[in-house]
Amino acid sequence: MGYVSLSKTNRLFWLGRYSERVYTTIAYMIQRYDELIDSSELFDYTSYCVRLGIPCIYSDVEDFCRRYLFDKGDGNSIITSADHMLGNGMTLRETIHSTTLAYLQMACTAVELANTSSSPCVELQWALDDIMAFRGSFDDTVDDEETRNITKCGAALERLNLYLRFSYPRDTVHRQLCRLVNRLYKTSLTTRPEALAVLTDCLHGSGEIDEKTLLNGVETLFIL
Amino acid sequence: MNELIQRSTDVNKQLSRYGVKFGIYKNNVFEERLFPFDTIPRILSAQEFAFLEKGLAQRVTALNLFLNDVYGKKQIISDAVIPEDFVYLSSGYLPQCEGLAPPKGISSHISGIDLVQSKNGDWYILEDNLRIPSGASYPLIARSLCRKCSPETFRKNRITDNRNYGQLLRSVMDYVNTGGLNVILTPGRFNAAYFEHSYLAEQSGAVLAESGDLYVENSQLFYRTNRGGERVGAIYRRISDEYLDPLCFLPDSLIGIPNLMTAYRAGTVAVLNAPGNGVADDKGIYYFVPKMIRYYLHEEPILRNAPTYLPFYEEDLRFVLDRLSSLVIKDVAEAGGYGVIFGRDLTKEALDTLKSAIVAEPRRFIAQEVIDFLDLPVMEDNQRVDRKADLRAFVLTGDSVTVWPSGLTRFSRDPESFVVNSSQGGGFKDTWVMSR
Repeated sequence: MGYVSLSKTNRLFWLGRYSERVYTTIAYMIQRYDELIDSSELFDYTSYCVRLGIPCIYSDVEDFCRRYLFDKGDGNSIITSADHMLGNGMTLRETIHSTTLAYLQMACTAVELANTSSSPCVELQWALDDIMAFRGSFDDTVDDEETRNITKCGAALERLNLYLRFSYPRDTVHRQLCRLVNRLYKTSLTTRPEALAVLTDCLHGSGEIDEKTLLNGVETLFIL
Repeated sequence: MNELIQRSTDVNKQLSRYGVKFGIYKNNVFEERLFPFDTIPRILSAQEFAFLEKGLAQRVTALNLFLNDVYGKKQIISDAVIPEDFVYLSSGYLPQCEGLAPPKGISSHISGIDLVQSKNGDWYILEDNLRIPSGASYPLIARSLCRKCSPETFRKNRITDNRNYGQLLRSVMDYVNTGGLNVILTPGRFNAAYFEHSYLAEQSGAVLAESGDLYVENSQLFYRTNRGGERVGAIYRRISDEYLDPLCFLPDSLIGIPNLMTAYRAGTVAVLNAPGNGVADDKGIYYFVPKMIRYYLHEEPILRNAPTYLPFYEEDLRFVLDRLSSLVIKDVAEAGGYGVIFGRDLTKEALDTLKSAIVAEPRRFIAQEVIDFLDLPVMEDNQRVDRKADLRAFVLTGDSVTVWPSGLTRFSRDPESFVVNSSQGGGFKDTWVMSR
């Protein structure tokens, strides 16, 4: 790897995590918005908060949709995650380059515009497109393979975390697990042996590992 | 140029896309704002730039000689060209730098010299910034984006390309590098000029680092990577002197590097700009720069200072007290447009209070004639309006002294104000130097 400090390794990793979190949660909320056109009772936001492990501070579904998406004072909101995504990107400008960083800036701008739009999903879709473009530009611009893999490990970990929390099908989780474990060995990220053992056991072992144990393994995998 | 002006919205969208922002602390809360950009450039003819280039190179050369002298033999003081009070009482003078010889004898590698043009076309130096002058990144990125939005404008006009600032910066860093990486040290994302720090790192190919990324061992500076320490040969620090090394300056600094000054003293790393430069860009020392030019270079200054009076001198003190209501008074300890008082704006009581303050602490103030700046056109709500503007020229000193053929033109957005600083709501323009 080039001259990347330990703190930059950390930021590359969190850039991956936050970009994935913003992407997955926006995609999820776009679907919920659609369901809410028909009925506000179709979406159980309290259960969503419990699954995500965030405090349910919202008074009703409307309050949830507004604040969870757009409240900068809510540390768990999507807009706050988008700000963290951009913040990590900004500190990596000379590593990921201005052209790549611009997509993160545009994604954040799109989320802010969605806040004032009567059709927020149109702008939110732009945010998803910008994050996708960020991924492409990142792959294309960052020459160093290890640097790329650190961010991809962060993204894979976050995705796996969210998939487990929302009880995605076993084969989908398994596919993400494969992707994460395969990338691990292409970085110098430090892992906890016992957590890694849980993950590899789940992939290659014969016994069933419950979701809670696996989620704990995922969440404690890296030492950063 | 009209086509470029018509593309103002596109240019500003591009600036937003690239996050061209500056930070500001308001009520102790950090906010990032887009830096308002006006597409109408300041235009300097090739002849005018050649004149400025010569004058700026002369000034910065003298200032570098002064810095070496003042922390070395102090000839200029012993020859009574500058009273020692102005050196040793300056807040920018650092006794810790006594006897220190910077690599290749350069103290001010990147100098930001602020100029204004009066209505009769004469240029005046307003102040020298030899510590961590910021602003080059803004016209640098704005030029690229303007070219994208209005290629025809740049096809039709012979404008000197300014997009080499990153290479110029790199060549200066390489020149003084003692063997190792080039690093730009930033206090972090919540610094007002963070965009600039990260953009210049990208443009110059330097590594952007925060204090935790760096450490000193055996009097050498290292960059902490996950494969061990990489030696640093040149560090372009974007933090103030007093925070640079907690073991040498402010002990509670969390953004400095312990023992950096030990490495610097050992000559194993070049620090850009050198610590202690504040003594040369002090508002009080400004008065003496023309004398420095005559003293060190035996030349007449090409560029003029704004007419300045030092209340420190009895004769000037009487003059200042008599004409206070028509002068501009500057507190030498302030920066960023703060501490600038126009006598004409003060009530009789306020003038009396200021007079008492000047009499009590004459060294703390300078007084200048108010220069009637040349107004520059600015687009506001689709109309051209005139606003006060200055020019920050960037002078890079490495193997040779190079004046960047561009600069940051800052303008006041308030029609009544002379203050152009971004922290006080000012905007910026590109500065075109015509190639013929």
